[in-house]
Amino acid sequence: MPTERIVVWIAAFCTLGLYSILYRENKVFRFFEHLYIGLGTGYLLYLTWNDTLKPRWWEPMVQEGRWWWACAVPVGLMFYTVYSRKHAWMSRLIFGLFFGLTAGQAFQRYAAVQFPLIRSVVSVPLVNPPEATAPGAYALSPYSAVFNNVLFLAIVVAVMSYFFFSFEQKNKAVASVSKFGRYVLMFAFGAIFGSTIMARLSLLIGRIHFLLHDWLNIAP
Amino acid sequence: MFTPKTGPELWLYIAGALLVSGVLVTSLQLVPGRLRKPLIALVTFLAGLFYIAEFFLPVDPTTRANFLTDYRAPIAQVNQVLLSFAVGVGVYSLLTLHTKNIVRRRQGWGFSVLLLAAMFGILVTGLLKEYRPNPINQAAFSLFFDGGLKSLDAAMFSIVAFYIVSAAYRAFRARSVEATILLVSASLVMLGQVSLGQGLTAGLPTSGFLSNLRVENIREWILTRASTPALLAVELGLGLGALSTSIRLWLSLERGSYFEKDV
Repeated sequence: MPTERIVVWIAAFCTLGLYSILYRENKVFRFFEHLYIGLGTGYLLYLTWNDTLKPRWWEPMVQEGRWWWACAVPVGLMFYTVYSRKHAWMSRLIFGLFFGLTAGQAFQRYAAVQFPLIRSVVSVPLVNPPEATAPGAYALSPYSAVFNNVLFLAIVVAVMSYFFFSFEQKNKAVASVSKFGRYVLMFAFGAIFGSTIMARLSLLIGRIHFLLHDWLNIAP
Repeated sequence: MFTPKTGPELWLYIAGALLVSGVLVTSLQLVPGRLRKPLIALVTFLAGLFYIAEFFLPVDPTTRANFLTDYRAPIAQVNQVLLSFAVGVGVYSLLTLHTKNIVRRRQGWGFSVLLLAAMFGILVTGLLKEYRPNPINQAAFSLFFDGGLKSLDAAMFSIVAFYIVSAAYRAFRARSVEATILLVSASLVMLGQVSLGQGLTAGLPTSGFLSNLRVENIREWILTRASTPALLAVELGLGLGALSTSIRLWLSLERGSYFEKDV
């Protein structure tokens, strides 16, 4: 039997084995669940070596002669002191290093992503928007484009006011805006939920097509 | 001093770097208990300070960079390499747990054997495929990866389709205004995505005012015009939250069981 065919048979058994959970918790499912975790972990290790450590650490050190990369070994091993009560504080030192680096990166990311985002929100053109005259513009352009842009701003403000918890929203106007924000959020969550359902169903259709077409050869 | 080396000299330098850094790391244990927390806070502060200083220091107008900008890539590389070492912490935990299961013959120890065999199987065949590329090694890796992992991945995520339908049933019961809005929005998005739904308004013209009422155009409008600004506002809030949390972490002001533990 050619390798491709064996791969198809293994894939079919894996798919059916995992689907057996839909009936109830059983040993076949647990078998494939453990297989999945094992394969996933092994593949993660393979990727860690092949995509990160080999090209970014081992090759610069051994092939390009950058010997100072050897210092990464004792420093990297500090993570493993977490398993020793006596030396566990050293793992916090290396974790602290990463907290610091991650916090700094988060700050830069905020400056690079969020500031332009705020700018893009407040600079939405409300009069004569360019999309009104663009090819394939909405049928009611330019009025629909203006309406959409006003709505865009209104939704951003309303949703942000909904998430403003610093003081109680007693003022009627603020409470109404916040309520509108809640409704819009539900609308957005509904859209995300609908898209997620469709994405999962297309995955399911893909697996069923695989079983019927690739494995059993009974579907076109 | 930091110049690349070749040949036997390189291995000598690597051994020396290992020895010196190993001694330095080990000597950290000599730091008195009362100085350990301040040391952790200092390391955290200095690590974060690099990115903050790089952002605030004036840049050369022609290169749009300052003297720290050139170090961003090497520091990111060090970060990535050291984080890769951390992957082993999780793997070590998994190995310890399942090895104990096997040694003590706990219930279901056979599954632990399977897990470890699968883990080493895909790792070894993957490395063989890289370092000894031949049809046998590639086929062996394909059995594990294409036959096993890829299909298990797709099957596991497609199972969610069954559960999401039951979740949808509970979420979509129009008991309140919010639930009704959720139901209407999700239904329109789903209808606009499949040909069956698109068929409902297929009789409407494809251009002009009435084309806006075609279900696929309504879906497009919901996703790009109504849903996007709401999610943008959420993203702005998340960004602010991330910023404040990162500043708390950077200045070691964060509290909680991990941060307040004695060292």
